[in-house]
Amino acid sequence: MKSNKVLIVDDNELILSLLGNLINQQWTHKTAKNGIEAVELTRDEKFDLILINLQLPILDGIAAFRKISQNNPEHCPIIAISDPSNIIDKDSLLSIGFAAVLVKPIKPNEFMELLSCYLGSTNENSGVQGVGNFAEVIIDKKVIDQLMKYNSAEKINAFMVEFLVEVNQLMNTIHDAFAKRDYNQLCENLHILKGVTGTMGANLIFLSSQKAEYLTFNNRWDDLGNELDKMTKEKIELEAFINSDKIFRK
Amino acid sequence: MINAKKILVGEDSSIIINLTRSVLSFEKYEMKSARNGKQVLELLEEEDFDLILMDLNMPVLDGITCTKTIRKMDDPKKSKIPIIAISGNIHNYTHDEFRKMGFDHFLQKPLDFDLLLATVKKTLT
Repeated sequence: MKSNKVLIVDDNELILSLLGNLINQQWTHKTAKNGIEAVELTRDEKFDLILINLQLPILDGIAAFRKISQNNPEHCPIIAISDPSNIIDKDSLLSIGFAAVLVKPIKPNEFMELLSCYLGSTNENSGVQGVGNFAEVIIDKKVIDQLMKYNSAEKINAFMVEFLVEVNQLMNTIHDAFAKRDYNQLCENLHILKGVTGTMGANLIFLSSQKAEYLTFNNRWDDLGNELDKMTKEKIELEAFINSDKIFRK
Repeated sequence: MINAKKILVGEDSSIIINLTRSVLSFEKYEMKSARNGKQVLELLEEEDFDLILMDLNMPVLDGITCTKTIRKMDDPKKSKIPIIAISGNIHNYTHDEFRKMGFDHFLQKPLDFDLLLATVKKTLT
């Protein structure tokens, strides 16, 4: 199921092929060698994520970023690739609107982790397809297996109940903050929700909170509202799953 | 059990505190928790710890400011305590930047508890 498409913009052939190979393990990609090419490609084609080197010939990364944003305000997340020598600090880049900043040298596992945050994982083993494995999407079995090493089944069940209470509290706060358009409150609580759901392996809500955080950064309130509605549905599924006591049934 | 190592965890999510406690107690570590950076400083004032696990994104006083404050303390038992940063945004910093901020190691959120335990062990030996 290779559907998500990434655009890599870099003038270095080696980087293009290294990152391209990594991306192809799970998704698909196209490349551009400079800012102009990137702007043109994004005009004709829809991408799910763009990786752009800041130091590019012809049109540099930031200029290209601005052009892409102008042409399409609803553009996908754009990640900056920066040299350690770059004088522009990360906070400035994030405040311009970059979704994240990758500093060279790029480590493959961190790179893949970061991309999974935006694209989701299509790893066939994760059991996204098939009703039998559907529960693994609600709570990642790997997380349960890991917790089993340190805890009894009863204790894990108790953690799950406590986890639900915390998710409910956080989501209530998030909905309130959304209604009030309270940017700081939203950012703060979405970030906590992301950490908590990620740690517990509640992957659907984890991915939604990640996306919601991104939409908040970009003041995309309508999209954020939809994402939060989706998140509420995912939470109801999670609740039903935990209450059904299926976690330890093979 | 002689001299169990004492770990202070600064983290604002109670479920993550409890999960971390379950994992650390499995290896017989003693653990105390603080819900924000200010509480971390208060607890550290009262007693000595062998290690701090510090979430960067805490209310009241964040983990980075808290760590910088600890590193400036007069008592070397406190100022030199190993601190492991925990953050959902570790990609935003390089190793060097973490070191400069005063952290000994850093862990990515969502937490991998096997990795957490391994990092704690490595730091305490």
